[in-house]
Amino acid sequence: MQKTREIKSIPSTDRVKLIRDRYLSEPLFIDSEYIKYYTEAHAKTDGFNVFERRAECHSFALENLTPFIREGELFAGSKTRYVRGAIPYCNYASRYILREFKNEEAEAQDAVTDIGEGGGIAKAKQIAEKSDFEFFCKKYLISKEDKQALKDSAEYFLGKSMQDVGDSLWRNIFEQAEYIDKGWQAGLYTAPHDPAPEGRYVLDFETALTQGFNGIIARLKDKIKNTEVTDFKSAEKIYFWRAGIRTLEATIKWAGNYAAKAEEMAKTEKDVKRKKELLEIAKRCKYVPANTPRNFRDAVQMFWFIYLAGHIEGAHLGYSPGRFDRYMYPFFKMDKDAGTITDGEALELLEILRVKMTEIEYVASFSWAGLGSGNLFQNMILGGLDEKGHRGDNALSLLVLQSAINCQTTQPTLSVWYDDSLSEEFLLKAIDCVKTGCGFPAWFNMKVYIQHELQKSNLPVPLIRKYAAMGGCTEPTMEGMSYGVVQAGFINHGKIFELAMNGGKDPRTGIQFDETPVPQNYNELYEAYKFHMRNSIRNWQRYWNMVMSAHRQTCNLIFSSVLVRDCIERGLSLDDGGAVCNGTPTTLSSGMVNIVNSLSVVKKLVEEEKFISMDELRTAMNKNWEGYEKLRSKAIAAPKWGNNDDFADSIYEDLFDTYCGYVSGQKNYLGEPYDPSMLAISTHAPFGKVCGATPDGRYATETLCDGVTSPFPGTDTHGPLAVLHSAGKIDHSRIRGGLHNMKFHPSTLRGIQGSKKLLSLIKTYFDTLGFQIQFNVVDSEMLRDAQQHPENYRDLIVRVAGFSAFFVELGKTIQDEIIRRTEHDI
Amino acid sequence: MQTQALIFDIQDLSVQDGPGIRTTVFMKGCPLKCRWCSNPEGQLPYPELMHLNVLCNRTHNCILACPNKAVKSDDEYGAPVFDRSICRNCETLDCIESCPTFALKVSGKYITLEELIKKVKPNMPYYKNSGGGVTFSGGEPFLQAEFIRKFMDETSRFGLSVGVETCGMFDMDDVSGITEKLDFIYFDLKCMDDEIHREVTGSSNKIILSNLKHLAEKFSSKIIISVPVVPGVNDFAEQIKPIAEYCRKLGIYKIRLLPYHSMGEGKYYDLGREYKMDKNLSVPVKQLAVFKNLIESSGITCWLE
Ligand code: SF4
Ligand code: SF4
Repeated sequence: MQKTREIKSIPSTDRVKLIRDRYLSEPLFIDSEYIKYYTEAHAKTDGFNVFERRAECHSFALENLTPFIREGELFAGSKTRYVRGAIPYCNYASRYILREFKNEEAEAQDAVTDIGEGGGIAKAKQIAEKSDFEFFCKKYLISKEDKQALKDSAEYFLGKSMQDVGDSLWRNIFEQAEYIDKGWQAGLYTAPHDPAPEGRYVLDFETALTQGFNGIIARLKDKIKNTEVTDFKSAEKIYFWRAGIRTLEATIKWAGNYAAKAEEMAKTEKDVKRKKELLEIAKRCKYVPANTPRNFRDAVQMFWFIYLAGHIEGAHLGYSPGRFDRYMYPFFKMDKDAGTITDGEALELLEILRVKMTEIEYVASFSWAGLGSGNLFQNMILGGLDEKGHRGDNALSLLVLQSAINCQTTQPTLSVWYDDSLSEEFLLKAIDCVKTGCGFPAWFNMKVYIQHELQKSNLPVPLIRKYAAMGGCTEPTMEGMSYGVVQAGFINHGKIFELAMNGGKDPRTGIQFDETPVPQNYNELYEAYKFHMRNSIRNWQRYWNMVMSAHRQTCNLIFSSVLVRDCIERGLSLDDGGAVCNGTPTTLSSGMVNIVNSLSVVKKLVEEEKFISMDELRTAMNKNWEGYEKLRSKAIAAPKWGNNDDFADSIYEDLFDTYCGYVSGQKNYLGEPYDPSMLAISTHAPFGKVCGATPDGRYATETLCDGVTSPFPGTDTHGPLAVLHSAGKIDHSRIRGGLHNMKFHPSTLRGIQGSKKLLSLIKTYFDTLGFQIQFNVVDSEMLRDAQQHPENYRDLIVRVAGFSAFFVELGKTIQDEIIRRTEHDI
Repeated sequence: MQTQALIFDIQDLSVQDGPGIRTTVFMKGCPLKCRWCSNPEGQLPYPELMHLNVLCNRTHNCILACPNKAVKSDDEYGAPVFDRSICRNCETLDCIESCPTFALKVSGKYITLEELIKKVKPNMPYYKNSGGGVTFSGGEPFLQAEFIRKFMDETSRFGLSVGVETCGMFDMDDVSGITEKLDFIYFDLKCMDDEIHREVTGSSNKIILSNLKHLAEKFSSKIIISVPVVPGVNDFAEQIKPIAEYCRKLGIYKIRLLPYHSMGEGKYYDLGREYKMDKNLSVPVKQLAVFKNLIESSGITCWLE
């Protein structure tokens, strides 16, 4: 059945349609080409300075990559030889790859992680069954030849990869090493993050686009010329600058390979129009990124080369394009003023860019792939302010939104830096995009982030306004001036709670962590909770600092360093603290809402009403509520987060404060305090799976809360505004990040009136200093899911022409009728 | 005595109940019994037990739990059947707690003035930024006019905007002093033909028409007429046209059409009542467009919801 929505569009040209459909029908591949050359160079550079070795390996591999230009493309550059290809970065971690080869039992957590099985993955399975390709890592295809190369590389990097070098340090010197291992087994932590630790930052596209690589190389050469070697520090600087030059020159050469490829293709191209396009691509690839763009098309090509080269250098997640509508706008405006580009032409480029960014794949250990849902978290953030504090949206911002409406791909995800001064046209267009049901843009409060960054780094306000961006799903970062390897993975609040309840013993595995008294009342429980929270945070941070020392030796980013302020000026790489902002490393956790609700239940039923003792409650948890239905009803009726009820909300506030305090009590490996953050991505499902029942009424293995401040499904009984009042009580300026999901049936948002209502809702929530909000406009698929899993949708209200009801309470035929109406938007 | 109201729901972010972000308070109890009513839980002026059939797993916990022996198993499907005359006076509501799937609830609860104000006052920033406020709907809100009057007295201090959706059947004396302060009034008009009106709503439309006339004399600009377009009742030009003409005469220039649908059906059974409409009926979209044109041809703004 054809789905129709109030806002729905299709790719603006046949070309985009071709490129998008090609992506959609393509399976996933592993491409070993890069790592093969990387390994070859690594073997030849033993004894090099660490910067130069890293630069040489990356540069040599980059220069040797086979250039691929596909039908219809208007700008060149592909991460791998496949439409959807991933590079296995053995230099980061190789054991998991070898393990896959042997088909060994995956890591302990894999058993509790689901990864998608549909679409491209299903197709990969089919192809593997009847071709020379093999199925790998549960979702990829790999050719026989690549498989050998990959195996060689993986074996070569045994003992040399970041993970191995890091492991050999912390496993030997860290007195809490055993704790970390236990944490993995019990599901207190997400699996080792080493296979894809990078990302969550934005390169300095502005400088690159205004100086060109030649300009930057000249600056680097100048630095070398003007620096006298007087000690090891000044010598190291020179090594770093030389390494930087090597990577920039390699990138120019790589672009040149594309120019040559385009020329070669043009020779045999019969279609006159395409031939002309190919020759233009060739010309452009010879010109950028060495020189500064002459027009918007140059700028798009240059952006793509820079972005992609950075993406190739590191095993990235959350690596993002940042304030694209700001730094690209001058080129767009120049062309518009000169009349050399139409909106339609620019739109086509932007739509293609969406597909190109979606084509990038990554491969990580199986448990990470499940957690990230295969998502690369590339975040393009629009709007915001300029350095003077005036509205930052422009004509290009509108086109970027339109490109996302027309060409619905998963990447890049869009965000809006919200400020009251943004133009109504832009805001309404952003709401239109929300109404397509794609889930973005997500909305972020500029005001709150400015406060956070001021407290954190004390940077000048104009700078924060201008460069505030998003690195990854919901973590703000300063564009082009921040360190990017920001976190070790997630801490599971659900598990911490179980440890607190059970004297430090994990009930699922029986693993004993630090022993604490088995709590007999609320206060004892709360104290135990705090103890285990602090312990798990502190150990995790210390462990990660040691891994990062290995990162510096093995995987320090060089290309990216010279494209982040002030690495060149300071002569320091990212890992040596060259960036302006080194306070970015965060400590992440998820599931706090379930704990707040659980504590609230204990406070109410054990402490106040004396309805049950702690021991009985523990038994009820161990029995997964079986035989305790009445208790569970009472637990469900107890106050919960998200109802503007201070009983529960004050627990959240206190816990949140405590969490922030613990996190920032430890310094990161760049010598600054860790920054607290909370996200969920997809951790709430696997984290929930390893946790038993919790006093909030949750059954064992049920998922945890999917946001930071959004309520657990079904527990917000006082309507969406009460939820926002609760969420607004927290001091969001204390953390880097935040996530608040809200579900709407499209009938609530219909028409311009609906759009305006949603905008006032966002504005008011942000007036109360909320930080982030995103909307799920329910579609028929979700409603079908609600029919299957009513427990997750208890709060979903449907209102049609005077009729009002909770969706899950309606009869099947009426539910079907509403699904039909949702599909047809009536 | 404490001022309180019997309500069956409060909803934030309602769309069809006036401008901006609104909280709609659904008052329970209505003098009319329109056959097509899609919120039947709003009709009777006392709390009622609802058995949400779709969530019921036929565990029969409720049958065991009821101290009054009010629940029996339906022979055919094993669904619990409730003796409403007993449930109406029930104080324990043991069945609700016993149900593992939350398939039982009471529709209708008393809320005090303070409680309602405590609930909506924090929303003021949302109302202010969007031009929204509170709408009393129902049921028939003016059956509890005293509550609304006191509510408005209290909330006018912080500038809350209040609107009402009425079926038109109320005592004019009850609402004096309220209507002038309301920001808008959605006023239902089902049909001008009294005989048909009697048949489908159970009451004559004389009082309704006279109320409308009185209101329009003073406040015609804040009245919006709601016309439910119901097959077999008023889905022909001969019924729609007089409504438009009457409105014009009274100086009312806004009419919204609410096409009939049968989505309320399930709730009738959940309440232990019978659904008397033919649920397969519907008004074709084309026909609605014709009515819209017809109404607009008399110079009235008309829209569909
Ligand atoms: S207790 Fe609940 S699920 Fe069981 S029969 Fe009664 S209403 Fe149905
Ligand atoms: S409402 Fe009371 S009388 Fe009716 S079934 Fe439930 S417990 Fe029995």
